[in-house]
Amino acid sequence: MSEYVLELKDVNFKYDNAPSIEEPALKNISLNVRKGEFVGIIGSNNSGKSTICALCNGLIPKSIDGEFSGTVKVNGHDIKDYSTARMSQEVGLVLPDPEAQLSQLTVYDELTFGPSNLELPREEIEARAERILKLIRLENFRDRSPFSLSGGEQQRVAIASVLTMNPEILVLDEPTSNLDPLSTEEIFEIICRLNREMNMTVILVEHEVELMAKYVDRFVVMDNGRIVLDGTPREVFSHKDVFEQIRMFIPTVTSLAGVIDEEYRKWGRHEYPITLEDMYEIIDSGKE
Amino acid sequence: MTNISMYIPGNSFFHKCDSRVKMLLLVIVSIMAFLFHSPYVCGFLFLTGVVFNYMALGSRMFRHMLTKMVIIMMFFLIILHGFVNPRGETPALFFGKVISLPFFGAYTLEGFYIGLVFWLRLSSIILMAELFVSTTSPSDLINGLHKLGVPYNFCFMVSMSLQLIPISVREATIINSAQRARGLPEKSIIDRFRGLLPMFVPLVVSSLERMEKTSMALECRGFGNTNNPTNMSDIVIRKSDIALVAVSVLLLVASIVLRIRYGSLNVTDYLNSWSDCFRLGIR
Repeated sequence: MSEYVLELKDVNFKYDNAPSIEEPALKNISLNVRKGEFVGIIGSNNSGKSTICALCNGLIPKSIDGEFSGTVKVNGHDIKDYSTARMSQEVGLVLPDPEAQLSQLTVYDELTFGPSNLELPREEIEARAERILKLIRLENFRDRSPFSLSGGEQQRVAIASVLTMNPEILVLDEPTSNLDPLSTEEIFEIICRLNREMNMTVILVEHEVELMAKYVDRFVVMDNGRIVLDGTPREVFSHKDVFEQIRMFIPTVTSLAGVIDEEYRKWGRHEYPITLEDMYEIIDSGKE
Repeated sequence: MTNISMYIPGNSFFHKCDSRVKMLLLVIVSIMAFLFHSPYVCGFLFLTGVVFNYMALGSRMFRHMLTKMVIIMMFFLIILHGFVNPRGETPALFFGKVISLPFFGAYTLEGFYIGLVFWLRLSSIILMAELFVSTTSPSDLINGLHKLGVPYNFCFMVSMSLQLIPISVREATIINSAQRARGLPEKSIIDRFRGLLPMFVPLVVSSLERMEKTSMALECRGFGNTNNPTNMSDIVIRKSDIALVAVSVLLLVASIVLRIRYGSLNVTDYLNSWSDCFRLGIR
């Protein structure tokens, strides 16, 4: 068994349902993720972020048609050899539209739906559902219809319903794209807790770069089906030129630090700040 | 968000009943109601329906859509039939007077009798259906169907469609508002009908897209892995359910025997006064 829980090697993929688009969605992608890592994938639209998500549990190439080449291994198992149902016990995938992911009549049914499809014994399913209800703080919604909840609550239910499958890796494809700032932070908090407290490997695709910088261990920056940058937030955001080239924003504090670069070097720092807290710290130390 | 299912949550005897028992009850009542043409038998079924509903829902039953339907039908069937039924011959006397309408003629005893029996028949079936839909949660219904041998995928499809209706309605409203905001005419009724067509295309497209997303999400949660998912419902067949089934089956058998022995107890041809309507009519 290798040290990586997720390995993508030389993966190419081109969607069949968009014949007008000549370019493949993914070009020679190689990516390795360690157990317990919190990886943030960023990039402009159509850069292939969502395609990577669908690869992780075998939706591509099994359910979504296209030209696929390369290998994707989860815990050492090649995704081609297993069904999506089998893979979903190792990789939980949360999609962008919370409402479209929900299908049951109550929140509780929603949580038990996944494991009941695995034909687990009822006691086990109930224990899992109770645990997840508590973990995601959904106890009060238990018997409500998921369609009567707000967007943020729905997304929490969607995350919870994936967690009852007991996955080791959680993959979230723009989970906050339809949510207000408050719910967005709530979702981030939950994801962060899952990562820190339960040592769950998390792969998060998002546009909220600034918020992500606070939480993730590693950033993967994609452009046009390729990985252009890969490293810790600090490493990644020090490549200001690359971000300009792919027309993406870096956190405001980081670009501010870039502007006052001269001054900044005098303080004896070589790495740019990426969150407000970092900036405060630097300013304080600069004063001394 | 409104739910189109007419389920009213509760904790009564009928709420805890297996949905198959309630289905059987509905079938038996429907057969019995049409076996006899007698206000006594149909009235008995009607009263049973009222009592059962009251046991299950209490006063909430009077707010139920189907109860209201029964009351509206009473006016239509009993009053209209009296005037318009083609078999009506004997005019009914109201304190010695005949009531008649222009074009339709007098209110007849035959019309009253047929209308009454018909109302009782239909209402007892409607009341039984009300008992069924208001005490069976959609997931129990799906469960019951599955236990009856309907394939799981089909049951799931039914429950998904139930969920989709309110969502589609909402989506249709959004599309309609968007098109009105861009100047879709809406003055006359014809304009409104014309407006339906441009609404239809985006609605179908968005529903299909939505279904694709949903199916992906379902697959991520292991749907399609099995045809026999773990049963999560608390409902089991109890002794009292068996007793209820036994009593209703016995009643059905008895009424079939009675029907063969004594006929349908129809007295339409022998009506001369109000009291004749309530003769037992044994042949």
